Amino acid sequence: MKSKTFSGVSSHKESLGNGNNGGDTISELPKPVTRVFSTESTVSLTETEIEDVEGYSITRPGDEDKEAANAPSTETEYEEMYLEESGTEEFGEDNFAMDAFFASYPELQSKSIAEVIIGTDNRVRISPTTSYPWRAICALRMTAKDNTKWIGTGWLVSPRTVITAGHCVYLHGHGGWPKKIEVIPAMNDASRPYGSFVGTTFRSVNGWVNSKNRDYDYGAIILPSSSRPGDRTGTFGFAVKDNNYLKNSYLNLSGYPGDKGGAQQWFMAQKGKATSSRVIYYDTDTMGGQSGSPVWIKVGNTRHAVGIHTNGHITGNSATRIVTPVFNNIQAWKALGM
Amino acid sequence: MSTNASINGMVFEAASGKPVPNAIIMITGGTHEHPDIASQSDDDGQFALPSLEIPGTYNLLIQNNDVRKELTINIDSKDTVLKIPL
Repeated sequence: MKSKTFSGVSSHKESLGNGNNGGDTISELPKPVTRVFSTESTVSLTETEIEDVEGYSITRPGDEDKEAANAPSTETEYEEMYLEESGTEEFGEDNFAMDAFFASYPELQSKSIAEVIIGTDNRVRISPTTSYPWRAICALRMTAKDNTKWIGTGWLVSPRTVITAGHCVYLHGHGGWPKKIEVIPAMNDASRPYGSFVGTTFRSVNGWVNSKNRDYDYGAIILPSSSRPGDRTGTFGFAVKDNNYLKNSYLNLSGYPGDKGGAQQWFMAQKGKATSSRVIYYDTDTMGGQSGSPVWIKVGNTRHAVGIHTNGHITGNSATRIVTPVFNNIQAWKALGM
Repeated sequence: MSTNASINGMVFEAASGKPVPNAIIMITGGTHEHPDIASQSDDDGQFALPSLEIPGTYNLLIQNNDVRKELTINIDSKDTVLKIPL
């Protein structure tokens, strides 16, 4: 069982890993027809970008030392950093003043700086999904290298860049980088108000691709140059926030849970439960299919994602926390999709 | 000693034995943390679970239109294959 460390140091200097259609790695071998999978190998973290070359990846010796030397060495240092990248919402034809949640529950709007939640059943369906920020959240349909099919969630940070969980863009045990991912912004049952787009170029980090380390479970889909849904949907901003801020803020989470068919967007929010140097924990209900959902903070009309939902567990569901190296990578991936 | 494995399975109609395509299979709980990704069965009813820590006990939810089934499974081998009637 993976341990959850709520204190201590995460001093990894991470960098981009990437892949696209066919970008497998040396740790992933073709699986036999019997579809019996071998256990995962574990290799050390690296800090340099992996070019997307089919069947090739490399871990450079000595990179672990560099990671320790080139990054903030204490959690306190993270807390001293406040990085923010703004999103956009002025696009599109349905730019409502209030989020759909507050449209349904206007009496709650004044109670919090963020979206809030009712009682213990947190989930509220978002419909219609064509107002901001909901329209910038995308249903994902992954087709893995071994042709298995998967459902996840992502969110736009630029016209062509979709942020999601690392395990949505690199599936250990299923061929690594997927064949393709269909991105469907604002999917609402059979309705696809902004169309759908197929991505074959992916990004993640070596901590996920090579080491399958939960702390590094995040990635991105870079859509083709002709596919620019973010021009119409608007995009999420993202930010680095300290422990106290995260634990005292409402963390909003919206995605496409499988128990609702994977084609409806459902929203939840609660205050953070705990943080570690690289993970945010919360009691917000989630379900399979919501991997990759944005976890965001709303202040006024400003929204910043602070995490990428990835995991479920009885002790608390969790998101990969946007800390400085994650912020920097998302910023770089955002630039790829401008 | 724990390790990770991706478990495969098949969903089929209990009455006819025919494979059930496009069913959504997800983990809803268990002894270990799990990725919140959902699997979808293919035309042959086959699906895979995400890489999980084993041995372990996991709760599964299988959703196919209005049909829903919940299971608790004990996985102690990477060779485990799930056959699930709906």
